[in-house]
Amino acid sequence: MDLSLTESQKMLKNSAREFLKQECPWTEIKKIDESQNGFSAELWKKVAEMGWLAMHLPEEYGGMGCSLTDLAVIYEEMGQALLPGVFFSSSVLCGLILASSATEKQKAELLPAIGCGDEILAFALTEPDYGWGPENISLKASFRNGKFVLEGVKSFVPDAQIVDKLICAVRTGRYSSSEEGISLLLVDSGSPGLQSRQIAAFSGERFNELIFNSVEVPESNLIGEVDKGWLALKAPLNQATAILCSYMVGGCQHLLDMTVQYAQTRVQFGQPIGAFQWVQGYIIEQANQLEKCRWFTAEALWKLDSHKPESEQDEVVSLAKAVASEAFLECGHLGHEVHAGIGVDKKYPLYLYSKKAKTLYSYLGDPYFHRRRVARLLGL
Amino acid sequence: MDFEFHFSEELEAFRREVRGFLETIALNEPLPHAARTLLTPELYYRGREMQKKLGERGWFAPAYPREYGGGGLDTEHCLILYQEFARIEEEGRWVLLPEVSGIHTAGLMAYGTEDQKRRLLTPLLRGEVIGWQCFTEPDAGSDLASLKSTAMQDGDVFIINGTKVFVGEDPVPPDYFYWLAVTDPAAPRHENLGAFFIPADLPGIHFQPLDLISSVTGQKWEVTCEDVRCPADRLIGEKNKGWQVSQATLGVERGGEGSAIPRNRFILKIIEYCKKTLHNRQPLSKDPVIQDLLVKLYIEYHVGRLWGLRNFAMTKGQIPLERYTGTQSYLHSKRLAPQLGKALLDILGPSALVTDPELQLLMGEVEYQVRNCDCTHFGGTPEMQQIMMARGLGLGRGAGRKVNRQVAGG
Repeated sequence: MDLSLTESQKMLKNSAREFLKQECPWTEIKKIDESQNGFSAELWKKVAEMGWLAMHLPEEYGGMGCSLTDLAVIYEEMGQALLPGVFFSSSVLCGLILASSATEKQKAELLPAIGCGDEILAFALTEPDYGWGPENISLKASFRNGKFVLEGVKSFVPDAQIVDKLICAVRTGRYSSSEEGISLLLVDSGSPGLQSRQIAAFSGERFNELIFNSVEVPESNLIGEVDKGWLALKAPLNQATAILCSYMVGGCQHLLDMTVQYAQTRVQFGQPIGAFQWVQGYIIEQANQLEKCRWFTAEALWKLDSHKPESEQDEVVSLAKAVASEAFLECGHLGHEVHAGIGVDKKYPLYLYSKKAKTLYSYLGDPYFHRRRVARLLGL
Repeated sequence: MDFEFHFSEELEAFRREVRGFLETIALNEPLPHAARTLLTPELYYRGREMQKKLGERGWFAPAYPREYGGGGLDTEHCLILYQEFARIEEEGRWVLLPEVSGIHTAGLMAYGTEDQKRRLLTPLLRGEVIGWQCFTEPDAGSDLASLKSTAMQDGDVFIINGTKVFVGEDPVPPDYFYWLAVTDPAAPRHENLGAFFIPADLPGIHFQPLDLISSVTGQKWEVTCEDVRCPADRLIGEKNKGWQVSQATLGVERGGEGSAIPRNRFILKIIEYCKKTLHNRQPLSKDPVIQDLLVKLYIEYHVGRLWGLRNFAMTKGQIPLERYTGTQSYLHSKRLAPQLGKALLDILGPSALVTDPELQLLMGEVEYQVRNCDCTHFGGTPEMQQIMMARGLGLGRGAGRKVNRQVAGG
């Protein structure tokens, strides 16, 4: 047993921290958050130049073939700095789906472009009847004249406002709720009949509603086998979820650090508020939440990287996300308890973190979704 | 990272040796929970025999130096030893655990004379003697430093007076007390105490067993010293340095191996129980509310397990030391107890309270957990743990002190 990071992981961590400190102060994140599209082409380019978009992608497609634990080192730092989610959507979520299920031709076309940042993809699974299970996928894709024709609505899709292509989970089979009959399609965001709009929300990511009105998708855009899309999603969703958890670890760590610092320096009643036991109690609970989030996530990454049996991978990832969602939300809430007024003021970064925590709470499955999955795996 | 232990063939051979030995001393039949927490004198004496046999091999204090009666074993060997004890426990069988009080030994190791280490520490580490830590008093609980017991020097003896409560864990008195008393009533707090190893058979010592609803460590006692004449060579460290002696912690963290053994395995047992037990003609675990309660407990079981591994990795220098983590684990187990107790009542109703030998659940362990869920003060209340943890985080009295925050994991 050895829980230490390798020397190269430590170096990676330090260089990521330095880079983000230089290039991505919270005022920059605030600017992006307030921009029309929640996107900064300049930051995108700089991150791509660091090679972070290609780290985990296969070497034969321009990637570096790093482990998930390596990638998580970067994502924890990204979470500390609160980088926007488009990096995750495109390189992690879509990159992993393509790497595991796409045809050689699709991989050769897309993965190098995703890895160097030339192509940006987003993943559309959820619908107005929100949820992350197969039963929540009902957007209909009928196969006619060599093409898929899509009818329906995707909702709460992050990053669709800026991407060129979407990976859509659609229903090609007859059954509307089973794992069978789901397919993955690559859809050009400019396709005729596809309408998209941002949903106004108090959210750390842009939610988009995508309305599909007889949108035609060529058969060659099918990723993996028809009707077998849910099976194909399993592994990449597990992997991406673990990476998202490491981002949330970074968020929790930052919330704890900023709250400790505030409690040490903010003086009321003639003393630092950190001297008050109620305040201490809130911060202790932040540290508890952080440490839960950190170690469930670390074990999940290790089990994925060491190819443990599938049921073990499913369980540990769901445990991690159930814990991480609660932890990030709670760290944000407790941060607000300690900061009071300044915490809701936009000239101070706390609100960006708590808003992100609320957004990621449900993303890729909320705690109840994941606890139910664990219950099934335990045979309850 | 690697969350698994890998042992060499030599270590596996050691495991077989330990397992074979434990089979010769452990009870063969499972022991109901009530019996293992409040030992009968008969079992107690049996335990002391086990303790001596362990001590002969250095396995009662496996990580301690051989020259003082310990086993001198390295981390891996200790871990295997503890794993094998845990295996016996898992089977519901009883064996005396090799738990040397770190509080007793740390004071002696740090402040004892060479002679005291030979006379007092060695028999303790060999499992030949048993001592009780006598710190708490009726008016000195969390505020230990305000204790009133006195030790007045009279030539080559100290005359001890005072009463200690909630001490001990055995059905009969021990061989000695590790006793804190005021040696200088005029001196300021923390500079007025002495720490003594008092022989328990001196005249003037009175024992009164306490009648408690629960105790996680066994029978508790009230002990009163009335003009007890304790030899001055039983004072550990200097006369007014008893506070420092009592607060000593070992330079080398002992029992780090213990933290790598998951606690709260009862949660796994209760999950299995709910899968097998019918309620309204279906397994308890089919109820969605019960399912969620069980998964939440399952998460907490893993929190304890993962933090234990983390603490272990920290003592091994694999990850940077954070000052709050030891208390954090302790606080977690204290906070988990009432959560578990309530969940058991939610799931099992009044059956969770049954002690009837025929009707009790899981050998009485269910009732034991519910009963003990209000007993969270031992070893320091959760509130005291919070105060210490806050200091570790750089708050309160620790404010301004540098919190170790290197690159986590690096």
